[in-house]
Amino acid sequence: MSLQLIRPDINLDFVGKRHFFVGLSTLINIAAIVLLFTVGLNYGVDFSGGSVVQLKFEQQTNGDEIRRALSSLDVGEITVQDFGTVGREFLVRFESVKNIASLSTRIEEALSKAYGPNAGKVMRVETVGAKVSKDLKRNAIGALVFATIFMGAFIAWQFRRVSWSFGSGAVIALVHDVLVVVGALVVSQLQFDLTTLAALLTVIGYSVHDTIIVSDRIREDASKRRRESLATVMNRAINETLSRTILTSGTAITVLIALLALGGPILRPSAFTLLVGFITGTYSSIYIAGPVVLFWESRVHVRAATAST
Amino acid sequence: MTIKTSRGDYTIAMAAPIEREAGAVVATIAMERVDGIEKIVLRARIANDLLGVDANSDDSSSIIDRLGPWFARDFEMTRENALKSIRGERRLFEIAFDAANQGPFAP
Repeated sequence: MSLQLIRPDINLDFVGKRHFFVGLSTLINIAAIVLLFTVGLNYGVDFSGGSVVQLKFEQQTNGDEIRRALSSLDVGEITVQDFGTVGREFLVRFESVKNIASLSTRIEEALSKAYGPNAGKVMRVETVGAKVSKDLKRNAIGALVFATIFMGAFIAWQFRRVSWSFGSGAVIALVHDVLVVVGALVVSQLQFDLTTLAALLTVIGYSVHDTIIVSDRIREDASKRRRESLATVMNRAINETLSRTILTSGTAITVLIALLALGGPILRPSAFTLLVGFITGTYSSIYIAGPVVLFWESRVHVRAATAST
Repeated sequence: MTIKTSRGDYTIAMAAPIEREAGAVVATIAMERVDGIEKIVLRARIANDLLGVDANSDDSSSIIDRLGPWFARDFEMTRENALKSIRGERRLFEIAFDAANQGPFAP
């Protein structure tokens, strides 16, 4: 007996339930946009500018004590987060440092005063200037917008013989995926830096991958079953590709869960982004791209019927 | 000591006192860009045989004088490895110099 994850004759009603899931996704996207403008992303130094200093202590300490020790430095707002060995290693972010050249020395002097000689050491200093971070932010947004539009145009062109609406379905699904992932990053407050951006661009590429699989099957079935409605053809296509969708996404998601659990603090934001993005990308291929195409096609037919009367 | 690299000038200095272990000396070294925007700390484990009489000395200048030009030549790879080690493994990158890998301490 062969292993079958999905029965070959499965016939779940995806298209019939689309209104509920489109409504749910709309609410989630609105919430993500509101959160983005109210709470905001936790930008890394790449996008916010400033300096990151990694400190290692001989003795246990905490963020409040470090902030007190460094308060005399006059370096603007200080953010301290645990990093590595709990209570012994920390990442300190400074938004604006007037004299960066002596920052490392001044920090070690301040720590010596507070904790004793050589109690705290600076392991790493990385600084991104305000102009560079502004440029990076602008380029990041440009990359996301370009990738989304290009993917939509590519799919619209490839499926033009069935309908131009496939392109709009793909773009709306992509925007949905990006918003869901961004919303998840806002809620989790994981750091958004260049590696997280790369993960988000990967999500855009992967999300459309599943949409293409479903759309291609719709194109195949639509040419064979011209008498059936697009909704029926679409539902059959989704059911027929369900096994491949679950296996492809499932294997990728399994790897990402391992990466998230074992990858450590540096990889956590990008692993989280990829995991949420891959799950959402699979969902949107079924419940967003398809309904958008159906909606577009129904408007075209209504307009055509109205015009002929 | 100051070295010239493709990323600008960096000062090479000791970040902690010399440590002595069985058969080797461990130097904790800081590479810091002269304008302060970047600093990376790493460790060099040097076999006593390579240092000769300097192995018992607390004066680190001879170690820095020999390591500086070596770092300048292999700067990008050393920097990359050091950053990866600090960020990902949360420990200082350690370069071992011994009979098999004499580096700048070859006679």
